[in-house]
Amino acid sequence: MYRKIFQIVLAALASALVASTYAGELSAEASRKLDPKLRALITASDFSTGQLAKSSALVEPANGAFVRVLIKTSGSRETLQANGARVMSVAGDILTATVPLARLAEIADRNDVQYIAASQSYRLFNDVGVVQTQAVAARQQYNVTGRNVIFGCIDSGIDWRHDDFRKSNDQTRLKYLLDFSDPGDTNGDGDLDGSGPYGGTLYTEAQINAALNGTGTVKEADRNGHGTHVTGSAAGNGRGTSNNIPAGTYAGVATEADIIFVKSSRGDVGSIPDVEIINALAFVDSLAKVLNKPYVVNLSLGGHEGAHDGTSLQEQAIDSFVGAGKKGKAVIAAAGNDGDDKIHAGGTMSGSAVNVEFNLPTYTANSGTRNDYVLFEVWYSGTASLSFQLTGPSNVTYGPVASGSKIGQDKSAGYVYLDNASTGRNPLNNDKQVVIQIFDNSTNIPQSGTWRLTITGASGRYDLWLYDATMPAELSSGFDFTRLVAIPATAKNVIAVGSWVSKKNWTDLDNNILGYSGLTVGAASDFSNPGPTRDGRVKPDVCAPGQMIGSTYSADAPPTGTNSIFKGTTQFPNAFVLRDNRHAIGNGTSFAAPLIAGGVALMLQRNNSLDADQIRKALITTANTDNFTGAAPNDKWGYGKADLLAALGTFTSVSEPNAPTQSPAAFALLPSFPNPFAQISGVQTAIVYHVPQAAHVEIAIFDVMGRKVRTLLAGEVAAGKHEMRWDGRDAAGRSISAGVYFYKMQAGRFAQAQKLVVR
Amino acid sequence: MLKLSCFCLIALAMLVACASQNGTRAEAWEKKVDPRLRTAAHNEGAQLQSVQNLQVLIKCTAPLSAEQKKQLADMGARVQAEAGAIITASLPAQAVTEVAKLDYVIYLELSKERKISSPGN
Repeated sequence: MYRKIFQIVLAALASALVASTYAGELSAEASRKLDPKLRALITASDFSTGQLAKSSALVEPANGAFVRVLIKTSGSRETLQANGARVMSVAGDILTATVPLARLAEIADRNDVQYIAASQSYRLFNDVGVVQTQAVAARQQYNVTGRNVIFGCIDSGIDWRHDDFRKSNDQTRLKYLLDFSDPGDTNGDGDLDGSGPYGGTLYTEAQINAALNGTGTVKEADRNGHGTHVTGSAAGNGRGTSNNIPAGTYAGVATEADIIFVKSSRGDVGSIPDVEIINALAFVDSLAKVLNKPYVVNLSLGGHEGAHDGTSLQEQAIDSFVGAGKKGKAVIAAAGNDGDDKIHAGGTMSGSAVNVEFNLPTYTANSGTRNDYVLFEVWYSGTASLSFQLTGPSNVTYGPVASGSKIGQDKSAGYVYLDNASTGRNPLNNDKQVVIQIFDNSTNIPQSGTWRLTITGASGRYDLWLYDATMPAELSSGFDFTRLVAIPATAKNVIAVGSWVSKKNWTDLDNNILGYSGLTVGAASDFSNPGPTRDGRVKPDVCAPGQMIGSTYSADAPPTGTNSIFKGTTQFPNAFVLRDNRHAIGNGTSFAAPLIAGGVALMLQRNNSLDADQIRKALITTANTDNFTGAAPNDKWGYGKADLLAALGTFTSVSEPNAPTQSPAAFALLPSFPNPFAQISGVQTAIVYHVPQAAHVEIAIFDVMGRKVRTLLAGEVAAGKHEMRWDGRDAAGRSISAGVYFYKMQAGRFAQAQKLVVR
Repeated sequence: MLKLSCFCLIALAMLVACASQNGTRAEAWEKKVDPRLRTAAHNEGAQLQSVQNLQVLIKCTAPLSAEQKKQLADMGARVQAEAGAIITASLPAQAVTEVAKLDYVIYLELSKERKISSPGN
């Protein structure tokens, strides 16, 4: 997708700070130990008093003003109470207390008090994108936070250290982190290396916690920033703020969902091969089985190479995981951001020739060959017979190429490869596929200027997409702005999300108030891709806020980073970093989709038997229409603006996943995960087994010779779905040899074995 | 003589009808291979680097049996994930034809590069 540079038009520097006067009742020592808001409160700053009142730190009963505070002290509860403090709780050397405002200075003056901070109201939300999907209201009304639901994501990477992805005890919320980039394809053979599933490096929850505690290492980093931001919108809890920005200000939707993240092998440059997307989805799907939890996977990615009708193997593979009858699973995808790009042309032939023109600007060619190119795909009816001819800027012609044939010609305007359904109809959809590539196969680089594609034929609809180019090429005639929803949002069982404008400006790290020109709050984002799909289905399904979305900021993607999506301008270098320096602004359907994915996690907590069809129906039947959307469904909005509160109200609650009442119907020993299983310190394989009623259960590991390696369990087990972990060690605690092993479960007359490969 | 001439004309017409412009009729296995994979396998398209293994998606008639997986492995394929009857795999370029000829293989598609959906800030 093409990056657009938006002009920042509003740059009012709002950095004029109010000079504070703390003199008067406060000593210098007390002044130093007090949170600035408390200092201002004592000196009666109306501004700060108002802020504190709003945050509930200040209470004013009839007998005088009190303030709720946190006190870091080496003193005791009793000594502070002697100064009038009412201590509520003690956490190490920090006390929470209510203190008379009149005695605050006196307490701050104590030698055993190091610091006093005003209590802040912990808002679970604030960014308007989250609010305007009604996610906040949905959480409150249905008491859901995504707990026990897996949020899965494949993207550029994740800042696993960020507090937004940690629980209140600072432990990680990531169940697994699979990094396809480390090691990636180290020897250039096209395969990913590494011992993780499908290659790469796998980190478990325990390993991430060890790294957070300083006792382990996790090498993964999000140097692009996209994946961290996306995950924050869907599932960040907003804990990680600073600079007096209240915690929760930039919370996402499903604030307690479990997270499974997969980093693409080319995540740093924002690129994701579709094989990795399917591998990641299979990874999440298999883990969800092991963990016995429902999941929603977010795909904030896409492209235009393909038929746009749900029939590509990538789309079919995704559809094999989710859809009618596949309970507790959903995939959400961004519609894409080419809504105002001239990359599609389409129409119906009626006997006359049709010309589609495109322009290749002047560009600096790359050294070498096959690396300056412009690529197209055309699809047309399998019953039609169309012919294609290309004419370069100097009237150099290629073709015509009739249906059922292909050419590869090197001329002065460049090399043209044009395959017009040379093997007949595509067996996946019975339509005809045309591949057009203009590239430098020699010193003849694709010539700058206006090119013309002439299509001739008696009948049949055609659709052309300019899907990739190394120079900023675009169609200059014959284009339209339909059928632009990107693949895989076009998949039949995927829920596709477009973007609308929910706010106009923000304040950056340097206190500049910034915005974009020409936006109307409530309107669809210009860049949001319109449908329908090539086969005429309504896509996107719904829209959600996708501009100026404040969410989690990867510390590894600063504005100066080579691949950071948060690059500012010369005038405003930190334009997209928010004031707390822990969150940032993002624009795109990428950031609309995870709001819906988070909402689906709320739905799946409320009812884990929902399938993707039911979830889609809940979303589209409750989406709002207004003057901006017009009548729905339509190409730009799908069914309108998503309303998560209303969507959650369309179905009844079903007990949460893993509820103790959910006893399985029969004994079972499930495939372990990961399997194959690498013997790396801290890595464990999870073994899940079902017990329908209380029983004596034995589970043990055996080698291929039938020798028992280790007994994992031998004892009474209650009814339920249970999980145990094995670290690849034998009974004596030694690492076992790589090879094939079996784990067996015995419970009365029930016996089952599963194979386990140890690398 | 007339009969022989007619026969020759009909045979010639059939040959012409069967031939594509580039002179050869597509083999059945060729129809199973996505055009970009064909160019990649022959290293004749744009944007390609000469790599030993191609990342592909393969649609089969049904989820693969153990024997079928072994057969693919023997051809040099490394099966990664399974999504029903569709698998992801890495495949040596020279094995594309051989795999496409398998009767339980319906279609092979070259992995496509998708981009994150951010238009840039």
